[in-house]
This record gives sequence, C-alpha cells and structure tokens, in this order.
Amino acid sequence: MLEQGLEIAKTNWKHNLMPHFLLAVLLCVSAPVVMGVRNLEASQVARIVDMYLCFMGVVLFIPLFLPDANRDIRDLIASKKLSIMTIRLIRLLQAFIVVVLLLMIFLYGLKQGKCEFPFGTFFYAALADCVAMGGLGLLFFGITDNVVIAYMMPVIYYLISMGAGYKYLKVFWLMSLCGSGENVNADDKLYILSAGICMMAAALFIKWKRRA
Amino acid sequence: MFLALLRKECMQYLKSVIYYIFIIYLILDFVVQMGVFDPVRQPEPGMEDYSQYGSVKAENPELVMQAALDELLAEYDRGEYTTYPIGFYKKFIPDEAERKEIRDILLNMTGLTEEELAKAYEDYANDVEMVIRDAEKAGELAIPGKDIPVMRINVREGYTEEAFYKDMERLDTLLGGGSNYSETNLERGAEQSPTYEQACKVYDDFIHQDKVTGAYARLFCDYEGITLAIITVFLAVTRALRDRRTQAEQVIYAHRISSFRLILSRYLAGVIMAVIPVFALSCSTMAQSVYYARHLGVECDYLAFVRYIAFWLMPTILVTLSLGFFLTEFTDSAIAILVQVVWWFVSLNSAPSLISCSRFNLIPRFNDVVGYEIYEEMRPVILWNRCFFTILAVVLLLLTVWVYDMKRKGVFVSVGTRIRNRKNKLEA
Repeated sequence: MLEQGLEIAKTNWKHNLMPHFLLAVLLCVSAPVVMGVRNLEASQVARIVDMYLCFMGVVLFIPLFLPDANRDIRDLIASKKLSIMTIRLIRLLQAFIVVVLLLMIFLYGLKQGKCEFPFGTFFYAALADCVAMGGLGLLFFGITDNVVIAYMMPVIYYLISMGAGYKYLKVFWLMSLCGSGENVNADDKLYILSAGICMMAAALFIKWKRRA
Repeated sequence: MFLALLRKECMQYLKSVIYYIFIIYLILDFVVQMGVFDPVRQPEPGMEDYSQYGSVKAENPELVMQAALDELLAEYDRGEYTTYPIGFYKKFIPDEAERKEIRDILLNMTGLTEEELAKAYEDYANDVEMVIRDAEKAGELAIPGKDIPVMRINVREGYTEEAFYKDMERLDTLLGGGSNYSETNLERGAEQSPTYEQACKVYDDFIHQDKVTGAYARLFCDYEGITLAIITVFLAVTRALRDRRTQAEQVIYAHRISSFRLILSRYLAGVIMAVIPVFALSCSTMAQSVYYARHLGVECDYLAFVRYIAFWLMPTILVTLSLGFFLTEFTDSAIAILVQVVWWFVSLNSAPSLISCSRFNLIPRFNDVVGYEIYEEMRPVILWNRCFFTILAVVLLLLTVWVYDMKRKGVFVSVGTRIRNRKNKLEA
C-alpha cells in the first residue's frame, strides 16, 4: 500500500506537480528582485506574506484535479482497484508538503536576511493564506470542472480583500496579518485556515459524489 | 458572414459562467468603490483645510532642495537607502563605486570638498556623542529626531533647481527607482494644502474644464482600470480553451474560414462583451454627475464617459484580451492567467502614487475627482501609454492569428501539447 502510494506520488510529481513547483520556486526567487528581503520589520514581512506568498497556494493546490480533468481518463482511473479518492488525497498531501517546505525555506531565507519577525506566527499565517486561496480554487474546480473558474475565484477573493478589506470580509479577510498594523497578529488566520480546509474537503467530496 | 460569426461568438460568451462571474465582480467592485457619489462643493473662505481640492507644490524650491539634502545626508551616513520600486520596501546598499557617485552628488549639492564633508560628518558624530553622554549623565535617554540633532548642511549658493532635479534623477536611477529622490516623492514631500484662491481655481476647472462629468469619468476609469487589467484575461483564456475542452478543435480547423477571421471574430466578441457591462455601469455615475451639474446650473459634457472609456479603458481591455488569447493558443494552457496576475501586480504596486502614469505601466492612475491641471500635465504621457498598449494589443493579436494558423496546418505544436505528449496521461 505504501509502495503504491509512493509510486503515485512519484508519478504525480513527474507528470503534474513539477511544472507548478517550478512556478512556485520562480515566485520565491523573484522576491529579492522585486522587493527587499533584507532587514525588514515585522509589518513589512507581513505585507509580503499576505500579498505575495498567498499565490503559492493557487499555483500548487489547484493542479490537484488537473490530471483527471479529461473525462475519459477520469472514468478509466475510476475503474481501477485503487480508489480515485486515495489518489487525490496523495496528491493533496504531496502539494501540502511542497507548500510547507517552500514556505519554511522562504521564511528562513528572510530570517537569514536579518528580518525581524516571529517565525512560527508568520509561517502559520502564510500557510493559512495558501490553504485558503488553494481551497477556494479547488472548491470551484470541483463544482464546475473548469480550471479557469478555479483560478478566477482566488484572484477575485484577493481583489476583494485588497479593495473592500476588513469592512466586508471581517474574519475572512486575507490580508489580516499586514492589516493589523505595527503589532502584527495572526489571530484571524484561524478562520481562513479552517475555511480553506473545509473547502478542500468539500471539493474532494463533490468530486467523489459526482463520480458515485 | 463575418457579422454572423461575430454574433455567434458574442452568444458564446453569454453561455459562459465565467462571463457572469466577470459581470458580478465588476458590479460589486463598482458598488464598493463608487457606490456613494461624492459631490465637489465650492470652496468657502476661512475653511480650515482645503486639501479636498488637491495639493500644490511648495512654492519655495529651496525648501524642497534642503529637505532632499537633509534626507540624503542621513541615508549616506547610514550607508543604506530606502526605496519602493514596486510598492514593496527594498533597502539599497551601494557598493564602493555607487557610494562614490552618491558622494559626488552630495559634494555638488553642498559645495564642500571631500575633506570638508568628512570633517562635517566627524563633527556631527562628536555632537551626537556629546548629546548622548549628557543624556546618560542626567539618567535620560536621548531620542533621535528630538534630542539628537539632525545633520544639517545648507545647500550651496547658486545651486539651481535644474541642477538639483538632474542630480536627483541620477541618484534615483542609481538607487533603482522608487527612492526618496524620485521626482514624485520629492514633489510629494514638498506638497502642501492649497490656499482658498488655489482651491477656487481647482473648483473652477472642475466646472468649466472638466464640465463636472469629465472629472467623474476619470475617477470611474481609475477604479475600473485596476479591475479590468486583471479579470478580462479570464474571458480570453476561457474562450481560447473552449475548443480543446469540447474537443472541437479538429472540426473547427477543418472549416474553410480563415484563421484571421476566426480569431478576429472571437477577439472582437471578447472586446464587445467586456465593454458592454463597463458602459452600463458608467451610466449610474454619469447620471449622478449630470444631475449634479444641473443642480449647480452648469453645462456638462454628455460624452465625457464615452470618451474616457474609449481612450482610457479600451487599451487595457484590448491588451489584456490579446495577451490572454496569445498565451493560451501558444501553450494550450491557462498560464496566461498567472502571467497577467504577475503583470497586474507589478503594474499596480509600481505606481508611485494614486495619481501617476508612466509610459509602460498597464494601469494609469488618477484617483481624484479634482485636479484638471495635473491631468493636463500628465496627458501626453497617458496618450503615449494608451497608444503603446493599443499597438501592443494589435501585435499580440496578429501573433495569435499566426500561431493558430500554424496549429491548423500542423506545423506548430503548442508548448502545452508538447509537454503533455511527453507524459503518460494514464500514469498521471
């Protein structure tokens, strides 16, 4: 079972996740080019987390359903002994691990650049942002089977967060970390993390139910 | 026949869920940003503050020059410079050659020699040390900016405004742009609230030059420009991917219609369907501004919104759609969305202020109802910008036609298809 899981992960990495992983790496390495990553204060790092790193969730989570977007392939996979749900869960876990690793490396890089911020809190906030953006995209991918809508909804959520902000989104405001001012706190991130996890679960459920 | 095809393509958009999401978001964004009509009232004498009528540059250029020199002396001492090239903080630490160049600018501004400048810093350091020591003796903490003096060397006699802006431009370029010495930041640092007379002039321009509706049309285009620069790409990507999604590519390739007419009909349909909701939304603001003009008893410009949407927003729609179509046809994937997001993000965050336009920035900004005079100063750059993006849109469209034609002939295999064919679909 474990061997099968590893084989699925390896194939998913090679044929599906890797181009998106490279895009996510490009996102990380271009940060020093477009913005400062040295000697930043906590409020400046918070801005990077909320407004820049959150796109990693879009890049890495949404491809979860891409390999079986083709109906014929989906039907063929569904006819195999190993359930398609297991395959999707493996892909999700793989994407999650990649997101965690990339966020840790990026934030560690900021620490090496003498940036002053609480690592644990900011890692948690960045992860919540990525899960929320990715979960939203996955949910709509699951409902509509349309990759364009899957990318569109997190972008619209980002735009609404930028424009309307706390006034309309309240605890689901994406930019709550940088919006909390000088005394940055990630209290509200629990809500968007929870919402993100629920949306991912709902996406998987909808896909499974549709097949059933 | 082309018109029939265009009509069919427009109907395709009406069948798309993405088009309705596009419209809903446009409406929501409009309601949030411009839902409440903000009338510009005539300034009254004796008001405490006239900043609602914009701001004016400090009349005394020497104040601007001295403020810039004070800032430069402080940053030179620290050895690091604050910049915001695309809206995010970036610290610039110069190497030896760059430090020398900055020192030359300082020497030019102050009229000092290198030794005199070094002596001035030494004296300043001694003064600071003395202040800190005295504070410590008194059992207190010396606060920078309050107890600790700012280094002050006067701008040299005969240092002209022209020479100053030339030096500052050189310095800002050296620092990578977005520094405290960029023209925008220098002017912003020296801006002040207008006087009653200046506010009256601004109001007069609002009534007689903008004719009320022009001012609100400009504000409408500012807000909508930000939105359209990103969400329009989804219309292009979804339309371009539709053939693949419905597995109708080969059937369409076999049709007699030329690639040019086919792509042009899709593109124009996208433009039409994107512009219609924008015009519809503008009617609300236009009606309110016309009503306000009538209330003031002044003549308004009924075509202002049409003109501004055509000249300000259309190029944004054209180039965003073009890029979306081109990248989607070239890669057979949705990567155009990610590219557009990056372009939008950089454009929005590199604007130095809410009223700015550079030649190559996708999103010109003018986030104020008043300020006709400033708009007139910016107009040549805005025109250049809009023409550039219109031409770019046409070039990308022609490239899209070429790529599509090559795919039809089997000569070109898209990047996405090449990657997919290397993979084992079933394995994935």
